[in-house]
Amino acid sequence: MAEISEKIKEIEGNYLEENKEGLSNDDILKLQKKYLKTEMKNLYDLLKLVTDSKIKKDYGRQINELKKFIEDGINEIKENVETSKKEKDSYDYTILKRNIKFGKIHPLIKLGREIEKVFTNMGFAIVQGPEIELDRNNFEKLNMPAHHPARDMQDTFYIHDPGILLRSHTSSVQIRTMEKIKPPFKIVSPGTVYRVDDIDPQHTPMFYQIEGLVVGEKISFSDLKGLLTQFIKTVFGDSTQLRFRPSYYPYTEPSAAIDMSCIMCGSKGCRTCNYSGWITMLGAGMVHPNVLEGVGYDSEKYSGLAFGLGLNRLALIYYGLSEIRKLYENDISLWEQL
Amino acid sequence: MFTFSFNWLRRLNGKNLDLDKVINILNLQGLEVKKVTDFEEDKVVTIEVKANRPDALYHTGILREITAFNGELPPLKIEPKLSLKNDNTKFKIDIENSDICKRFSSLIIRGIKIKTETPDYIKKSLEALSINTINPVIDIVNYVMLELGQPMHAYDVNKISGNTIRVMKNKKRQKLMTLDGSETEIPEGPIVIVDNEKILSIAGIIGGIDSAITEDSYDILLESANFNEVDVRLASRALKISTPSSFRFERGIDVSGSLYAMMICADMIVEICGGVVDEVYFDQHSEYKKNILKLRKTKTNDILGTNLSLEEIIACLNKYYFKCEIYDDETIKVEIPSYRLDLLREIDLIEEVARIYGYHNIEPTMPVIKATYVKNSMWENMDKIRDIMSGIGFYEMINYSFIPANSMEILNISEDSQLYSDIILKNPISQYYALMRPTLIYSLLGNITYNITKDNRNLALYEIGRTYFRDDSADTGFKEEDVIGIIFTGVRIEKGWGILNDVKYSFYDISNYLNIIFDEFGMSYEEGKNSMPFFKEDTGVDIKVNGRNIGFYGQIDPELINKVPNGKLIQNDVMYIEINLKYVEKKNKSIKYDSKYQAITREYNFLVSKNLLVSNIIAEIKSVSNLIQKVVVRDLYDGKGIPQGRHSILLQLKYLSTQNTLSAEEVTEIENKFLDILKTKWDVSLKDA
Repeated sequence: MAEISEKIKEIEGNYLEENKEGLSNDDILKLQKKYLKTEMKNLYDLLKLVTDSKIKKDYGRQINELKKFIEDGINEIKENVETSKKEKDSYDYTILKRNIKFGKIHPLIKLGREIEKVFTNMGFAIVQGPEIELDRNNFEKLNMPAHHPARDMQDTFYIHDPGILLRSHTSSVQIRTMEKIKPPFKIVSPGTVYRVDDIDPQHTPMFYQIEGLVVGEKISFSDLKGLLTQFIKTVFGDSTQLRFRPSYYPYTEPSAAIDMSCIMCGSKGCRTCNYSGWITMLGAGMVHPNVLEGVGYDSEKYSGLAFGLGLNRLALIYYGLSEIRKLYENDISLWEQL
Repeated sequence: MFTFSFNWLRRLNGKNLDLDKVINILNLQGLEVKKVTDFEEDKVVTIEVKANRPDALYHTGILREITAFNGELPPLKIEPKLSLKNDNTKFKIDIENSDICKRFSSLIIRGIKIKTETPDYIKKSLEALSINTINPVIDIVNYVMLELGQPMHAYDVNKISGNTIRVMKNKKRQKLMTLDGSETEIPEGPIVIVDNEKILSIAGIIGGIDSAITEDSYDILLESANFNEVDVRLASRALKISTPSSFRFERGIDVSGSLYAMMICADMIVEICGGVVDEVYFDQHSEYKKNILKLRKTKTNDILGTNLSLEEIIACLNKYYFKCEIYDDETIKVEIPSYRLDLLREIDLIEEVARIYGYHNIEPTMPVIKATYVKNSMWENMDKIRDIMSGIGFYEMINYSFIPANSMEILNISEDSQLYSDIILKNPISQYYALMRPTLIYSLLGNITYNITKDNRNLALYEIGRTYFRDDSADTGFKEEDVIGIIFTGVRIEKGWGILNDVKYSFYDISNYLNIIFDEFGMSYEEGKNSMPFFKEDTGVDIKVNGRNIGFYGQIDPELINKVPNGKLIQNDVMYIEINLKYVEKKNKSIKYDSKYQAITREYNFLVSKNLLVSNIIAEIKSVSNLIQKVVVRDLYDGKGIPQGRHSILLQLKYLSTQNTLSAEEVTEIENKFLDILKTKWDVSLKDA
């Protein structure tokens, strides 16, 4: 009888001394087996030998208490293992799930809109017109009469219908606009234009142009400089330098070519700018009085400034594209990087 | 372009020139330096000379520009040694009219030694500019052209038949063997120089071989003339012959310099080859006046935005070769040098003032314009659509406006279709880019195949572009429509992240996307079946707004896809939508359903005959009660367990009342009503009924 009490105390003591930290599932099972099976069996075997029913009941109760105590203990160990397993759940912020798709706007449009916005924010209206045009709107009205060598500057596509061509610049839209409205006004005519060129790394037969026109009283060359300086600095940054130098367009006089400091190297010189530090960005000038008079404006009363840029070459530089024809190949593995 | 020899310039200048300074001046004065190469001890410079500055197509002209801007004095003009009389010569020169020839000068040199060696400095100068040396007379003529800008021609006097030389427009088609040994057929029109039996030369362009200077020539006729620019240009185009001579005539020659150039040339020939010049020369020209323009101070300052005084303007002009005279307080009279053919009116002088004053010296200002702002709705709508398309995961394409000449055939578009185009380019770059496109479908299919070759197989693309059609009522005879083309194919949702299988794009995705677009614009629209030639049978749908067709969609016919280049690479269904943007407009929307009570959502799985359009069922359900706020098709199933000729449609209904929270009984009552009608009218019942 005293054996049972001693045994109970012994088992309890052993149990309490067992290491209960960092147990694996196997360890827990071993512990469970040892105490709740083996030792309990031993105790129950001893209990069987007890004859006195009152003492037997008492010892039985003690054994059950011990059993419950150890069961609870082992359950708690199991729970802790569960919770510590849950804490180990990680949230790896470096995993980038790419399930939700977002689209892309074409780089020419992206850049074009950025540029056009500068002008629309200044109150310029966007005007559009036909791409299949009359010779008069594309050349004659722009001070390039028939057989003038200036036409060589723009090799044109023709349709079989006589006198019909694909416009070589969006200035034709400006002519159409001027024949419809009276000054003062400021307009931007962005759009697709065409020049005969094979498709190769540096050329395409079609490209995107943005032209602008301001006509009113006392519009001057200094206004042209101010407007374009403001525009370039807004799009490319305040530290961008500009250079205005004489050039020639049949429809402007004075004419200017505008260079800006190379956006790749900032005028130090690199391959992009042919080591000159400058990129020719725009052509511009004061609208030739022949043009104004041709649309019925009084060239004594009104003057105008005009400017234009080809977006494709600029997009090459701006987006790091290697070849101009890629703009029309539309490889989305390129576009998804922009 | 004009290529010049730097040593030649130094020789003309008489003293040294700094190459870097010269390059800088040329760049800053609109004569952009394109290339500088070495040729022995010389530097060969190529500059871009625009059409308005023919006076920069020769060495004295370039030197003139340089000295004006480097503060030096130009070299003195060399006076010809010859002193001759202007009279009729051995040949009577008959000029048809002054329109075709503003000036004609000629003289004869006799007894030259043609076998003389061309002096080194001339040889080297011509070689540097890649011009072949032939014999001293021709070499000298070329040399003088490149130095003074006047193209000339030398004829062998003894090969000219008769005593009269005519300058006239060619009257009948005839052949000519030209100097370079090739035979040309000259049509009616080009100006020709003729004797009494043959053409001696095509004026301004190239000489005939029969009258050319050869090894046995000893008497030469030198011609220095000014032919009509347009006639020379048209002739050059028609004959497809372009020479340094024709290049210059097209752009204009200083008429007052022709005689001088001829004298200098004759001087050089006599000096180098010997011979004696006939004491009379021929010179006939129409009257040419001095070019004098009035320049106003106020107009100058208005155009340039400067505040220059009359004296400052004069100081500018004096830096160049202008002769100024004060006309009044406000105005100057300026004599324009005869070689500046581009200065025709006051504005041209104003540009000169700006150029000399320096564009960099003009202070920038901002223009002040009181103009009303005009909205461009189409532009805004296009941007709005782009934002929507980005949001639903589509990539924007831009394609060439031209498609292959045979694309109408490939797309099964017949001549009487609205989508037919026969707008062919006269001078396309190739037959692949020859037809102005009437639809974007071909271009976008090309984007699909191209991207598949780059291993991008799941594609959702669109293009906002122009389409072209004939239209007699338009001033050009053509009309252009801005449309959006949307194309998608491949996997829409890839497996992974809990999704067990790839979900591919299908026909029903089309109306999903379409609905999103129109919903954003607030536009209502209808659909109806169509039979577009490029869609798979039964998949073609017309999109209508207010009864008018504004677009279409469908699944592209796989057989058609096989016909396009690389079409066989496309393995999945390809869906396509096209909408004319002219008819897309933003409409305002307002809230229709607003209740403070809770909504009840229920789903119903219906077994429906495949011939029955679901719009009938939805309309029927909605008509039963206005407490049904929304009916959405949640799923379409056609597989195991579905009887033949039917499919199962899962509809989700949202019940909402503005009066109270609906009870289960109220909903059941509505359900029973529509289930009943659906069964009796449409033979539609719940799947597990």
